[in-house]
Amino acid sequence: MHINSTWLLLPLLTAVSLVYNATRYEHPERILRRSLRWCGLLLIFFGAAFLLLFLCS
Amino acid sequence: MTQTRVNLRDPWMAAGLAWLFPGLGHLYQRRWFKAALFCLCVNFTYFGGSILGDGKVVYWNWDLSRGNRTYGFFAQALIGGPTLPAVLQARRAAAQHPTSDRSKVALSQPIRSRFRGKLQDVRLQAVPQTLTLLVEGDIELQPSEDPQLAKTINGTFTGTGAIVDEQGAVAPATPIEFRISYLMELEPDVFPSAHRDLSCDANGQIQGPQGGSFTGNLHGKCLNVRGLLNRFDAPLDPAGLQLVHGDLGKIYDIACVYTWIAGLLNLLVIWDALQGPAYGYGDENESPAQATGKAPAAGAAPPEPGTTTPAS
Repeated sequence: MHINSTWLLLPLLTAVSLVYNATRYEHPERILRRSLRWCGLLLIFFGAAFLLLFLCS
Repeated sequence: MTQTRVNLRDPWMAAGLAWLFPGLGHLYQRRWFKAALFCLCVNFTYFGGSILGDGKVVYWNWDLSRGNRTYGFFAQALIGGPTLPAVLQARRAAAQHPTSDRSKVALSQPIRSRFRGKLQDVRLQAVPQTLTLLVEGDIELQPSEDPQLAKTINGTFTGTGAIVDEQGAVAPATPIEFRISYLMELEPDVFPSAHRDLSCDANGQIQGPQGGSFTGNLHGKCLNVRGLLNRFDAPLDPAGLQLVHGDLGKIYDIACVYTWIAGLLNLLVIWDALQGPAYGYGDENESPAQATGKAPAAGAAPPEPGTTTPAS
């Protein structure tokens, strides 16, 4: 099965967001809420970078 | 580092356990949610990367004569336990085969397995041009008893062969048998694959209308001959690295990045086991009022007895 390698970014972003925020706080709800926000921000950032590269290419 | 109400128990012990296996340190500290989260996320990233890279991503090599130095292993080693066998496997590989040159690797143990590969430069008496055949069958190889003639072996192959023409069309398979007397290249014993690559001289008989006696070069894989002990965290030689790049392409690089990031994430996990959460417990009010030093929001839990409160 062939998958586009860009999709491999998603699980990595999720894991990084969760682990990073879990090392900042202890409260599960706060960790999950901030991870979700982080994940969204990172996706927007990478999406913008991809779009920029796509438009330049 | 801000205040924490977390009982870190013995922080150094927890940090050591967190290094040994992601999540274990937090399990020791009875921080159940974080133990589960770290175990899941870090191991998913690490083992996901390993699987993505076909098990050929984590290995240790510092000897330039045996290939590139694996600087990335320093990041991977932060995972601890699962990467430790790599150091041992590198030593075993160096002890068994002093050189990474596959043409100098000798067969040390008999091999008896299924084989799949290509018979190339086949010269049949009745056919003027050389042929290529796809072969599949059973192979049996016995090492030479004389150490001076380590590349000379006794081997047989029995199976089927299908001629491939210049356009790539494959003819129906016919029975084929041949002897193997000289080993040209052999993959090392300790290598991260269940299958073992080899190249050798072959001479024998092809059945069928175009058949007859022939000589040729055999190249392919002995299937499922390597046990877990010889392949887990085993080092890749330069030829193996080139092949895996050819097979997996950029997925191999992504797999390496996955394992490196997993190691670096575990560094944060170790730090959390040692020092507690960096910004605080997390049930405090997020509003700017808290930053100005006002009273904590209603519902914020008071410090638990017997817990540590490291200084800022």
